[in-house]
Amino acid sequence: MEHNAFRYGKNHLGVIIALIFFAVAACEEPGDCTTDTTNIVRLDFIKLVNQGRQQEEDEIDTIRIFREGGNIFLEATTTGTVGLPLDPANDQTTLLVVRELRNTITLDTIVINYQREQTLISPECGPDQRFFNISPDNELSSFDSIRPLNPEVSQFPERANIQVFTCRLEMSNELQLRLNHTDDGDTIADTLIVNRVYANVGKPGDLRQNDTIPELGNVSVTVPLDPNRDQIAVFVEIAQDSVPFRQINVLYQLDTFQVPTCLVQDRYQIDSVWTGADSARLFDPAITEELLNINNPTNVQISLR
Amino acid sequence: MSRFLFGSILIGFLGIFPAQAQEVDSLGKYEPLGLHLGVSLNNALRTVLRTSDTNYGFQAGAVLGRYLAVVEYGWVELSRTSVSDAVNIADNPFEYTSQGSFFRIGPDVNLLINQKRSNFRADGDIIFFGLRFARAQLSDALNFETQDAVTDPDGNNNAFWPAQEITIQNSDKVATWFEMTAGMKVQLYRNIFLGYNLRFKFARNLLNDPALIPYEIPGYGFGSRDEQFRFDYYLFYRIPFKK
Repeated sequence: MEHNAFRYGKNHLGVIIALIFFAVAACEEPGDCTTDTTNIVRLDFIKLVNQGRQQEEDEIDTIRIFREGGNIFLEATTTGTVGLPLDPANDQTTLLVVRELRNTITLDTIVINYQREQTLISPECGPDQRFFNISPDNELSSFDSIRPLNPEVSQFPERANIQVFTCRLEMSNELQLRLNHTDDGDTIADTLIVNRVYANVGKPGDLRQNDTIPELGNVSVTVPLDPNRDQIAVFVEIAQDSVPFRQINVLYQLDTFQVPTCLVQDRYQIDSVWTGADSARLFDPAITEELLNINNPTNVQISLR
Repeated sequence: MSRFLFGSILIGFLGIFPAQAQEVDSLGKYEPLGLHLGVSLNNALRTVLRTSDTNYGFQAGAVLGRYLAVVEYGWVELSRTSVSDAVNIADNPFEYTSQGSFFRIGPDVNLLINQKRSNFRADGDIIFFGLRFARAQLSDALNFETQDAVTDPDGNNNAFWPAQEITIQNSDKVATWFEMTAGMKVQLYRNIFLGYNLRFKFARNLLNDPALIPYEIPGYGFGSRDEQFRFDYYLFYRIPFKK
């Protein structure tokens, strides 16, 4: 007598073949040892000019990185990128970062926290360890900011795991005042002698002394501003003058300024400038650049005769 | 791939139903007909052949008309060490040990009509489809020596980080999953049956996010896979309640 199962097999050969196929599929063994995991975390060191726009700095520091207690270092590329091996036995890695620029050395500490997950791929392939939830700690460093960008490390990362920002602080508290000796219209080239330039705030003492300014020449005076005031008076003593000094008044304001990746900075802005009542020698005061920034050579200029 | 395969098997079974739906089923819907007790042959064979493994699986199924209420239980102990001639990617020695147990519970339905073409009673030869909820509990440990890819001026590894031996372990971790299963059961002699289960395992959930992903979850298979196919051969003994 024909067995029920065999009769079924005849009628449903496709199902039987499918079952056999699945049986073969079920017996597969893992044979691929390739993984994308690594313990190398990628850091990008980015240097910015902090004047309100995210402009990259031209001068890149030489960056060497040591692990705590180690003497082998890894060096960042010229673009500021470096791949650093995380401690495979702990969930935290402390790195010492040595930055060098024109013989100036800065030492910083970066702490990277992360999670690890281990698995045995197969007896043939061995164990594998995945690093993820990469989270830097910036408390111990002088970097402007350290930002996590890609939380999982991989052998072929599309972007860095961590960005480290260093910002050149470009805001200044020093007013650049330029005194221009104007042409007085005659044919004789006069020379002005400025005995002293001083201010009513800041450290006692002269900002400049004994300057000789030829006709059409100029002299620049750096005037530190007081964060607790909003006005400053600068006094100019001219040797050939009939009065002891001439006065220049500058009104300014102070606020704070920050771009997202940099530290907060004080920002001084010039509101107005004017001379004393007698404008015979000092005239045409003008603001050339409101913002006090180290890249601005002159904030205020005024003519002398 | 696995979805395609499983889709195929479903289509295969769906093809059975229209022809059989015309048959007269004279059996009570959930009539108790017997009890099937089975032992997993492939697990027992693995225990015999691999000295590093102890692997047992058992199945009990109450036959209720064309349905079976199935409970399965098993336990696994295994150890793995680095293979000397392996293509070990990290080339670092390791030792892995694991032990745990599992159970599965769920129904099967017989899709094969009997020889008289009168009913689908599930206490004889059957081709079945079933569902399972499964739960495993295991403890495992992986010990290995880390290696650093950074080399010193002499070309030696572990220049940045020294080699460190680390051990990661799970204690009584729980995994749950579901299975769709299909297979055959054929009478060998009187109450002795031989059968196989093809299992598609899916929705694996490792509770409490273990640091160490188990290499093998008892009753499930490779722990790193979210879904997979597995195959079990069983030898059954039938305790008939009714002829």
